[in-house]
Amino acid sequence: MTIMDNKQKAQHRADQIQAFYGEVKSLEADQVLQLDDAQRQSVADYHENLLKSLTEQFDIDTSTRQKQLSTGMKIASFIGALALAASVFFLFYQFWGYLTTPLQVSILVSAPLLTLFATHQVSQREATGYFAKLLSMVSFACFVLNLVMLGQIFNITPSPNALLTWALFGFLLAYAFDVRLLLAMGILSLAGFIAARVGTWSGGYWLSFGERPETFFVPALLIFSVPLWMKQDHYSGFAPIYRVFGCLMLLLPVLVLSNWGDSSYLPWDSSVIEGSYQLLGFVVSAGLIVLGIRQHWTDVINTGNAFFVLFLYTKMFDWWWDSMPKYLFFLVIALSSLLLLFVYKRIRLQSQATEEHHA
Amino acid sequence: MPKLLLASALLLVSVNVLVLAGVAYNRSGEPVLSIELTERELPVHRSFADTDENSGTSLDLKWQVFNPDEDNAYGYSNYTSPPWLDDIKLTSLGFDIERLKIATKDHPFRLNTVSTDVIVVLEYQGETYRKALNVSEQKLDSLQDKVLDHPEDEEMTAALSKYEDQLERSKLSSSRLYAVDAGLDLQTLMKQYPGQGRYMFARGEIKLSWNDNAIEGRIKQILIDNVHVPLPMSQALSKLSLENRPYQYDGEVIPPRYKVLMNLGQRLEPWIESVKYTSNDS
Repeated sequence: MTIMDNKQKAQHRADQIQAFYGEVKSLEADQVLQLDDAQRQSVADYHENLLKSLTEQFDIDTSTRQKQLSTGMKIASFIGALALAASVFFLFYQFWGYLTTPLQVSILVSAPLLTLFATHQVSQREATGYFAKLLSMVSFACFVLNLVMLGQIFNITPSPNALLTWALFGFLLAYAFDVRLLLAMGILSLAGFIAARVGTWSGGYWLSFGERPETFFVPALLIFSVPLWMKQDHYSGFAPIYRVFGCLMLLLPVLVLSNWGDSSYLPWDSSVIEGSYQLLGFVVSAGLIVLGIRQHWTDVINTGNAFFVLFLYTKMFDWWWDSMPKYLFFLVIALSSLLLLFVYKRIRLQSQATEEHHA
Repeated sequence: MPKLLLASALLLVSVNVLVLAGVAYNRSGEPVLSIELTERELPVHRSFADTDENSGTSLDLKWQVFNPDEDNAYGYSNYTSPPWLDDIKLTSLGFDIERLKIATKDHPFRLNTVSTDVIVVLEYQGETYRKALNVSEQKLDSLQDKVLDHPEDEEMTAALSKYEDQLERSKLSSSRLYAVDAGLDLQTLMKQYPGQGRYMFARGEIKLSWNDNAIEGRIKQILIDNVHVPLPMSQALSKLSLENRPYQYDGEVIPPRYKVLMNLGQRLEPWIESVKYTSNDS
């Protein structure tokens, strides 16, 4: 029997089984395939055992109804986690002024530890993991609150090291409880820390790192490359998150620099910088589409596509918005969209032909 | 998972130990300096939102920059460039001014992202404050003469009223802390500006900009410009009336209602030692 290493793969296999029965039904109706009772029983037994094992291991959905309910639970869990984290912040803000300093410190230090312990306890008792994920998010929020409020209480000078500790805690919780939202928090905190450090090495004050978009290039490349040197097979959807955030941290600064060259470190004329970054934006987003197609990374293809279109339309707006009548401007946009459709259709046909050739 | 959980717990404990050890170090031994300020320099922090749910009490550190060439019509300014922050001073703070002049002459906006962290010297109730008062009085005298000569000029009469208000604020309620210097080494600055109670030092950020074909420096921010007040000192402070917006740029002009003894520790991080009330408001 196939061994699965993460919930996403297990769910994919369960979906495949469901699709298989649908297809067999259609084939039998069209009299293309007829399975005898023994074959049917053998496949059914195998699938029953497999689904039972996968359900026990990963709590996957084995029917469409279960799947719909799971989506609802995921949305509720996501909203609940964010709202509960915000609630923790405001609860403390509402009452901290009435507490003495030792009591404030005790609450702040113990809150993330207690919620971490509670997360562990809940994860042991509840198989779906929704409540553990929710609690792990609260624990992360408590730790953010912990450092922010200690900073306020003792008037501590702001430091980028806080971002590093939040990143580490976010990653540890994400891997311990398989939480994608916390992975995203960890990635953002780490990117902020690296960008701040790069900004400091370039002679600026760390809190001004947001004013220099190029400081995000280093964390972008690092984060994009993580799944290449650290396998993420045991975690559901972690690799796409690393890749998408890596792409965003590379392409968003390029988009900013292609419109505001004065924020660059490059000692060139602003128009030259903006032009270079516009060109780089097209090359990188097109390159990501090609890379995504070759590596079968749908997430990278979609991000590359979105930014290619964004760069194209931003450029068109720059060139023609003021000089063209509005009807002509939107007609050009529509025609360029049609052109893109033809290009994608051609690429799709080519990739189909290549796949058939390989098959 | 147990290993990751253990690592998470260790991280939480060690980070908190490090932070609290830093606080203990800052407050260890004798404070680097103690300074007594008033409500003028440390007014109670007032939230912009009327429905603020923050129960904590803190004081805003108000400081000014004096530039005789600038028209400080609102009686409070820290946005202008101080005259002492010239090319020589900026070079001593680590800016390569000559290189920046060549690099940014054609790209003035490029300078807006150049900044550095420094230690700012704030003079309390000293020569700079007196100079600022004198300049305001002179401006007011000159304007009064003009109004006497042209009583029909409504614009001038309005300006006179504005300057009268500014002078009243400067005398009664606006901050007497003026940024007079900046440096990178605390010990050197402390030798240069001795005298407890006359100067305080604060970490800040200085940024550059391009103005009138020259590089100009200004103090972008003081890093800790909001000082937390713990219990029991916060109890009486939080009850002080903030109606009519006293100590805001457009608020009611009233004399200070309290004095605060503030200490600066080894890392220049402040804390409130005591609060004394000077009126019946407390």
